[in-house]
Order: sequence, then structure tokens, then C-alpha cells
Amino acid sequence: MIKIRDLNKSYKMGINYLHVLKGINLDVEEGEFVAIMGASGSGKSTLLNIIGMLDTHDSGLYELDGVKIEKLNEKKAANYRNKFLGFIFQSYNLISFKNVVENVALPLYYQNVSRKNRSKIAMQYLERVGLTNWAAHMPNELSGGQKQRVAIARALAAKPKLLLADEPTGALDSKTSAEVIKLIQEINDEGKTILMVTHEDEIARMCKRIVRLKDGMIMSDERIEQVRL
Amino acid sequence: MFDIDRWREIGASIASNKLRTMLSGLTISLALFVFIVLFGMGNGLQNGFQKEFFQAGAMNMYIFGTRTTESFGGYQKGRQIILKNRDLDYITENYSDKIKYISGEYSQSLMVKYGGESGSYSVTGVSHDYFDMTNIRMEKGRFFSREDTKEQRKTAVIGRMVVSDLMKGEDVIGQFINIGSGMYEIIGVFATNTNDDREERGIYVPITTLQIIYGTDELPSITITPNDGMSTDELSRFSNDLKSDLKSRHNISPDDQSGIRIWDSSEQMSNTNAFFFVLTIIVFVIGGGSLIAGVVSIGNIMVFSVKERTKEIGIRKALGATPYNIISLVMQEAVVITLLFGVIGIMTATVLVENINEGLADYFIYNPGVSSGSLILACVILFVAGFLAGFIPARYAAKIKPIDALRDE
Repeated sequence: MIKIRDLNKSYKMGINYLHVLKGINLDVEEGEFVAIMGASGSGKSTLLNIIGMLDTHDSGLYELDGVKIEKLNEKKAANYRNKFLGFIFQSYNLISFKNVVENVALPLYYQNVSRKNRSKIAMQYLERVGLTNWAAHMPNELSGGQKQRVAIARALAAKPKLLLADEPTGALDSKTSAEVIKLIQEINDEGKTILMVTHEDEIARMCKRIVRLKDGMIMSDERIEQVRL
Repeated sequence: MFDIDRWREIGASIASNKLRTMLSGLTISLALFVFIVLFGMGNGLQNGFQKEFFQAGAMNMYIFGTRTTESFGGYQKGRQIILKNRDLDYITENYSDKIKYISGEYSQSLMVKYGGESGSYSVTGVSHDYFDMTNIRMEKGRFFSREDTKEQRKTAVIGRMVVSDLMKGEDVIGQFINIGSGMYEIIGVFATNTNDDREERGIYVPITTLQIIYGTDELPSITITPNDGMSTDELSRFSNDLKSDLKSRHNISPDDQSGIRIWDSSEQMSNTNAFFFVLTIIVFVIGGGSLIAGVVSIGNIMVFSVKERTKEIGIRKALGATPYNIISLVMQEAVVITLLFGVIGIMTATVLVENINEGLADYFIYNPGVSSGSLILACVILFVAGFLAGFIPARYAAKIKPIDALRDE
């Protein structure tokens, strides 16, 4: 699913270059559930952004589902993101003036799915995350956990090959976090590949594999016994 | 364009910035309002000028003979040229396609007697067409007809002042009046549109009658009303052709500036046209200036709106929105706002301008209005303006990097 070889990325900070990723090698197979861990500044978010095509790498190889991702123009990157990837953010990133079902349907809009079908598909995914009754509500009427479930439904709606989650429980209390992680585990059980950035060991142990980053390099990469919820 | 979600998003975006949208929209409304009103007033002024200065007869050409200043073809210089009936016939025959009306004129100051009263009045012999060539109107009775001219009838159309001078308000139609040494039947009383006393102290009789009485075929002057719709250039070409033809008929040197004089309105017309050309430019500069202000204003709120929505645009991009999706979203919003408020401005201005009619006639503005052509032009300008207003913000929006936008907490 993901093949990364000797990936480098640096940012220009004034006149200096900050070398954020220093030769990352990583393979992820289909159906895996990987936690990417590391202190802040370790480069974990940058790695996730590059994998999510929200950012570009300087050198090295990145292949997603056999497609070499390199120097994509905006339009192509947008199409790949739309087709291959689903995003779950720490701050949910729902669009405030659209109701729940419209938020879930948004990726489908950019796939030119007809309005009627969009709503139908969006309702299916809302049912999957257990929020059918909230379809017509606006995001600000939902609790944090509900918002994140809407975001998950939105990420799933476009049937992505890969789900990218950036601290999905970072803004939630432990009880709600557990609910959200349980949902993500179930989605993984259905065969979806998931990459999740987190800094909490407890959350990481609920994945199937932990990749630890430090100063832009992979320190450890181990498969673990998944803690089920 | 007919995407219902897009419209809902535009609606939501406008609703979240009602006041700002209203204020910027008003700039556009005002710009179009100013443009249309000025344009309409310009038209009104043009109509007013036309009504005031280009009444019947304004386009008339006057032809008359003067003394030559060069010897030519065996003739000495200083010879007085006098136009004759055959010159009129020649013109009528050879320039029929350019002439609407033509009349010779033969004027005499004669003693006029009626009842016990008498006075000296200017008596002018003209053709039956003359009525349509000048700004006189009939107060009573009629002007003389083709038959009157043809049969050299002794009929007279007298001015309103003649009636008040000599006849003390009697009904004079059908009465006889002594002009010079003959009796003429009064068939009509005329007034001028400008109530010109001097002109109304005049009498018109058929030119044929006057020529017979004085035993002459001379025409001191010939008046021509050219066909409608002739341009300034056509008019002066016509005038020049006519002049050289008449010169050769009368053996006048082609280089002689005198001999035949033709007065035409082409020069006046081109002055007026130049004036209105400048006026149109001024209207476009003022209208265009306010429109630019409006465009900048709309562009400004769009930039604000895009900045406020940076994060939202980032989310959309992360979900697969292409730059085109984002550009068209912003552009469409700008175009919609511009068109919406622009049309309001156009409509209010049109309603205002179309309802003035003669309300400003005192200020030379008569029946102002805007043609549907210029309304269409205004709408096209609006559309372009909307595009311009949306262009820079849209480009800015398209360049937003989702990663930066999402970091923007």
C-alpha cells in the first residue's frame, strides 16, 4: 500500500534549513493499522502530511498503491487525495455552515456524484458511525465525540484506500476517545488501512504496529499485540 | 453554474457577511446608477439640443447668388449672379435622391391693406413645400397646396401679427386682402413655434403668383431640406457638388469663392457632434471611475472573505477540491454579488431616467432615456467587473496550501 524509501524533507527557516525527515524507510501493507509516535518536532506530522499529499518531499521515493507520488500538480494531487485518502483531524475540521449530512457528502461532491446519491451514501456512513438522527444538525450542536464521528464518516464516504488520522483523540476525554478508537478499530477490521499519528502510548497500543520517530529518523518499528476495546 | 450546492454556499457566505456585502454591493449599485443616469441625461441633453436647435429647417441649405470676384469664360468679374427657375428645375431633377423638400424664395416688402388699416409687410413667395421646411404652424386655415402654386392662385397665408395689426381679431379666413396692387384670398393664419414677432409679421403667397405679377423668373434664393439621416460628410459633399454644378451653369470660375453661396448646417452639426462625443467620453470616464471603485470594493470583501475562509478552503482541498473548484466558487460569488447589486442600480436608474420625460425641459434635458443596447452593454460591463473583482481573491484562494490552512487554528 505504502512504499517509502530514503525520504527527506527540510524546511527553510530564514537562512537555515531545518532537516525534518532524514531518510525514512517505511512499508505499510493493506489492512494494517499503524501508529506513528514521537515527541513534538520529531517529524511525525510532516510524514503524515507527505503521505497525505498535503505536503511534498524533497528527495526519496514515495509510492501509494503502486502510484509514484512525485511533483504532482495541484489538480492531480487533489484528485489523488479525493480518490485514495481520507483524513481525520484533531480539530475535526467540519465546515460550520453545512449540516452534518452535507459535511459527510462533501468529498462526494468533488467526485461529481449526483446530489441525490451523495445524500444517500452520506446517510449510510452516518448510520455506520451511529449518527443518523443528527443528520440535519449543524456541527456546533454536536459534542466533540460526535463531531469526530462525523469527521470519520466524511473520511470514509469517498471510499479511500488509506485513512490518515492526526491525533484523532487529542481533543477528547478518555471515555469519548475510547468510543472513537473503537470505531476506528472496527473500520480497520473491515480491511481499511489506517495510519494514525498520536503521542499517547495508551492509544498507540490499540493499533497493530507502532513506528517511533525521533529527530526525523525511525527509531523503532514493531508489530504489537492489539489492545481491543 | 446551476449547481444547487454552489448556490447554497454562496448564500451562506453572503449571509455570514451581510453588512459587508451590502455596503460593497451598494458601491456597485451606485456606480451603475451614476453611469445609467449620466448616460440617460446625456441622451436627454442631446434630445433637448435637437429639439431646441434642430427643429424643422435646422438642416436646411440656402443657396443664393452673389457677385463674382474673378473673370471667367468671357465674363468680367463683379457680375451679379441671380438664380432662376431653371436652376431650381435642374436641382430638382439632378439631386432628387438627396432632397426631401425644395422651394425657391422671392421676397418683397409691400403695402398691405385690409379694411381701413394698412401697413408695409414682407411678402414672400414660396412653394407649397415650404410649410414642411420651416418651423411655422397653422393657427387657422391651411397652407397653400400644389394646385395653388401650379395655377398661380392669388391665395395668401398671413402671420398672426398681421392679423392683430390689421384685422382686430376678426375671423379672416376666406376674406380678401390687398397686397401690393392685387387682391388675395386669405386661406390661413400661421404662427411660428418660437413665437417670433418679426417672422409672424409676414405673408406667404405662391411663388408662381408673385413671379407672374412681377414678370420675372428670378429666384433670389433657393432653400433645400436634405433627406433625413444624411451625415455631416454627406451633407457637405452634397453642398460642394451642388456648388460646382451651379458655378459651371453660370460660367463662374471653379476657383471663385464668390458667385454662388451655399449655406449648410454641416459645420454646426459637426460642432454639436463633437460636443456630444466629448460628453459621452465624460460620462464613460465618470461611470467607469465609479465602476472601478465598485469593483475594487467587491474585490476587497472577497479577499476578506477568502482570508476568513482559509481554513475551510484548506479542508475542501484536503477532501479533494481542485484549484478550479475553489476558483469557480470565489469567482461565482463575486459575479453573483456584482450582478445582483449592479442590476438593482441599473433598474432604479432606468426607472428614474425613463420617468423624467419633460420634467427637466427647462434645463435643455428632454425625454432622457437609455437604449436597450446600452443596458445590455452595462450588463456585459457588470459581468466583466464581477470577474475582475473575483479574479485576484480567487487566485489567492487557489494558492492556499491545505497544510498551512489546517495549521491555522
